[in-house]
Amino acid sequence: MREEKTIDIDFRQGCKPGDMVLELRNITKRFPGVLANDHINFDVKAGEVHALLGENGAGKTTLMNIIYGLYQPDEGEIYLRGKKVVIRSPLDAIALGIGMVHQRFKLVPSLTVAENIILGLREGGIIGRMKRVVERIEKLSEKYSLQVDPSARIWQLSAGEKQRVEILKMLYRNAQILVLDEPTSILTPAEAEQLSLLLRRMATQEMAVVPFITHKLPEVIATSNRVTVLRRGRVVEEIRTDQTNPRDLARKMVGKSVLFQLKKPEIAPGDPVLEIKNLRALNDKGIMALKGISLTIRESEILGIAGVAGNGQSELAEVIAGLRGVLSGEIIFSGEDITGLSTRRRIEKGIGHIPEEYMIGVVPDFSVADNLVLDKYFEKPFSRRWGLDHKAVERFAEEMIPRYNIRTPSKETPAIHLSGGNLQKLILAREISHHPRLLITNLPTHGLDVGAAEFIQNQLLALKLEKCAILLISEDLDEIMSVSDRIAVFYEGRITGMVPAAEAVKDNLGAWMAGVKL
Amino acid sequence: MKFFLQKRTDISAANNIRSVLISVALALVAFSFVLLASGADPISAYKDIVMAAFGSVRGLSNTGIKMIPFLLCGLAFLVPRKAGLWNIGGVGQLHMGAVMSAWVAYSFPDLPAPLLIPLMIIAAFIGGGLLGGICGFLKAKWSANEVVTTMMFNYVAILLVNHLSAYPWRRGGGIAYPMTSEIVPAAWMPVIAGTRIHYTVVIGIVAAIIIFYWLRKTKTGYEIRTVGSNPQAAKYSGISSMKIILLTMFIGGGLAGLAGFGEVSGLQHSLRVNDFTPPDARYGFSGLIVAYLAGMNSLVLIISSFLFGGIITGGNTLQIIADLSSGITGLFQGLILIFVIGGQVLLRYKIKLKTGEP
Ligand SMILES: Nc1ncnc2c1ncn2[C@@H]1O[C@H](COP(=O)(O)OP(=O)(O)OP(=O)(O)O)[C@@H](O)[C@H]1O
Ligand SMILES: [Mg+2]
Repeated sequence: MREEKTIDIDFRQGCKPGDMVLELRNITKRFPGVLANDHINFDVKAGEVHALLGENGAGKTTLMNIIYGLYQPDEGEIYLRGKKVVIRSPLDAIALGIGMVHQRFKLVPSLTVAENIILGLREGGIIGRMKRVVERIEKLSEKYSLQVDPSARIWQLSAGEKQRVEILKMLYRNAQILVLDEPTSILTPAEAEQLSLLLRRMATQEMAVVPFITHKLPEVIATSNRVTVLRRGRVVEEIRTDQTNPRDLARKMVGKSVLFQLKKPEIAPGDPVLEIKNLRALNDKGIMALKGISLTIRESEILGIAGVAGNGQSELAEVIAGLRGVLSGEIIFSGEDITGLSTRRRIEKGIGHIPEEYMIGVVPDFSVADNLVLDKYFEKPFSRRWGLDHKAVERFAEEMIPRYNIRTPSKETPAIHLSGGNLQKLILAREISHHPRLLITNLPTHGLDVGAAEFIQNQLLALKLEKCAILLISEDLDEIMSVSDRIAVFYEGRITGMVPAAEAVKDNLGAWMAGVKL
Repeated sequence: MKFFLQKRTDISAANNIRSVLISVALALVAFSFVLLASGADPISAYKDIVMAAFGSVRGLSNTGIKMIPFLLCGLAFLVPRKAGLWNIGGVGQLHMGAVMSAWVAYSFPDLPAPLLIPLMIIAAFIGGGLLGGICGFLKAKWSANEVVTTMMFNYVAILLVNHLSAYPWRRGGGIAYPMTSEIVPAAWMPVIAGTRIHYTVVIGIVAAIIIFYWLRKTKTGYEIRTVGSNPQAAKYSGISSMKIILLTMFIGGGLAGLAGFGEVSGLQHSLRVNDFTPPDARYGFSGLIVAYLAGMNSLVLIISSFLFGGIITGGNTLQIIADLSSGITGLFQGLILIFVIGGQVLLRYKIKLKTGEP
């Protein structure tokens, strides 16, 4: 292992707000079958947050990976404070003071927070030194109010905490330019707001320079000073944040007006599809996650589950899908007790599941086509006696890719090469097209651009016409309130409140989410 | 000046083949230096190897004999690998297959060949398969690392052969070397006329072809690849990893067991210590090498195991012609393994030279 270098150029010295820090000129990057970045110009100035916006697959992650040295541009140059640099690897990037927090976390679950933070550095190892590491982490987390226990193990942490560890990891390495790829997609609204504040503070006080990717337009408005919009690998516009608004940004991104309008079918709920009675289950840490949950979902009904992440919602989804065992209680599906059934039997009975993290739902080495049948390869027309009908699989893929606007060079492309949002679309296409009788969706629109998110929400609503019952788990209260028919609020493994969506008041939901009984 | 590795974004089948070919070529170059140091002329040595292995019926016959266990042990490594498992137990599973087929031959000496041989085949497959399957079970049930368990069972099975040939099944007549008595001729696998290559080679080739299609075209193959690539996704889609781990370890072990059958029924006609792990060709371990040489493709494995059989045969001859030490073929094998695995790394990363300022 090579020793990691500390910063050579500390540009915070003698740097005034507004000074140019990082400049990308004419960056072009091609992948087989796609032009991911097409002569992109992008710059970051001291003291500002520069947001990068664009549809799924527009090339945002690719551009940031180039800054971080994960990819080499085919053409173009990078300048740091006016000096041309070549960033060949993340080690180079870190040496130049550039840190990145990825769309998918890159932490080692079995190690502690402190161990993860110094991973790859020549520090720690000896007990005495580890103490110093912990001290430094504590100082940093205090300074930036990033609370986290250095001795906790990663697998015990929530998504928000993992995020803090990733940021601390970069701060520990003295990163001055922090690249954040969709940092808020998996955060709760409160956590996201906290992060926004942190970014703003870092940008103005420390002059750490933060390019920032997100799909949440209000967040862009609240956090950034400037916005660059990408479409299909090209910069379509660079604009000052105070001269734009969410609607305008959405139009620039997609190239046409986004309606922000959902088509709600007027249809009354039918017979109960799912009845849960007094369900109790443990989480991965062996702590009670569901403490006696009872609920019913009917045909053509969408039940929204609101709540801060980590209050049992994910465990509920897993229990219904058959991925997690129960301690007690019953799960009744169409009048039949399915509590003891295997996942496969439940899929066959018509239970679809969109998992919280897309990496759970796809096989990275498989082609897009093979991934599209993961929940149905064992059924007709794909299954023959022993074999898989590859022609049928391909025909299915040819139908799904355009319908769900999955951006991929071809149906044979391995899923790992798709952008995050397009992987999510792949999973949604697969599950929705299976015509489920019950669909469990956990953060269905996370990581999707505004256009795609709206399309998916409309697809979920359209499932009501097929008498499908839907369990919608989301932390986005706006999404829950606009899509659901009824809303249940989770707090510490219990339902603290349940209302018809039409009567829901945001403040009340918020109070329930905080555990206050009204 | 410094070197560093950079991730490649363009890994294709063609690159894979090129990487293997270049690796082998480099191994040959490296081995030339060993030959030079031992006082042999590399060019003529390589010519001798090729001639000895492929240049005559006798040479081809020896190559074919070696190819059989390589092919079957290569498959024994490859099948579990596709499910994400490392079966390092080819040696033990081969021994177990040998023991089982010998046991059948001793127990039913009066059966006619068309009955006895298939019975031996089945017993060998089950014997090796169970040995692999146990490791699979330990893995699926208690996540016991299969690298460790399969390796441990190697010793168990080798010692079992030692014991059987030294005590219960020992051949009488005061032979100094412990070995079992000869199995009845009805238990002998027929050989291709004019050679010593037994028909187990057909079993191996057919198995390789079936496995190729099995992994690619069937539902079970799809499930195996899913478990190998993302176990979480497998669970999510209701695939039982337990079933897949047991199945691939059983089939892998069974195939190595067939190699053991081949050695007993087609070649040695008895059990003897060391017969099944000859120092020049540690079949069980070499399964890993031929599988890597084949880029984990079971059809290419037919070719790579044939070539590897040739290398061993040629190497043995070279030892005699050039009067080299007996470790030389082992060294050559080791070189090939190092270069091929190194090539796999370079397939994923490219080496860049760092000059000047970053
Ligand atoms: N390693 C790769 N190999 C091949 N194609 C790739 C690779 N990485 C990205 N791509 C392609 O490049 C394009 C841009 O992908 P990128 O990940 O930059 O999108 P993105 O803007 O970050 O999208 P999202 O919002 O969905 O995360 C996509 O079409 C993607 O399929
Ligand atoms: Mg992205």
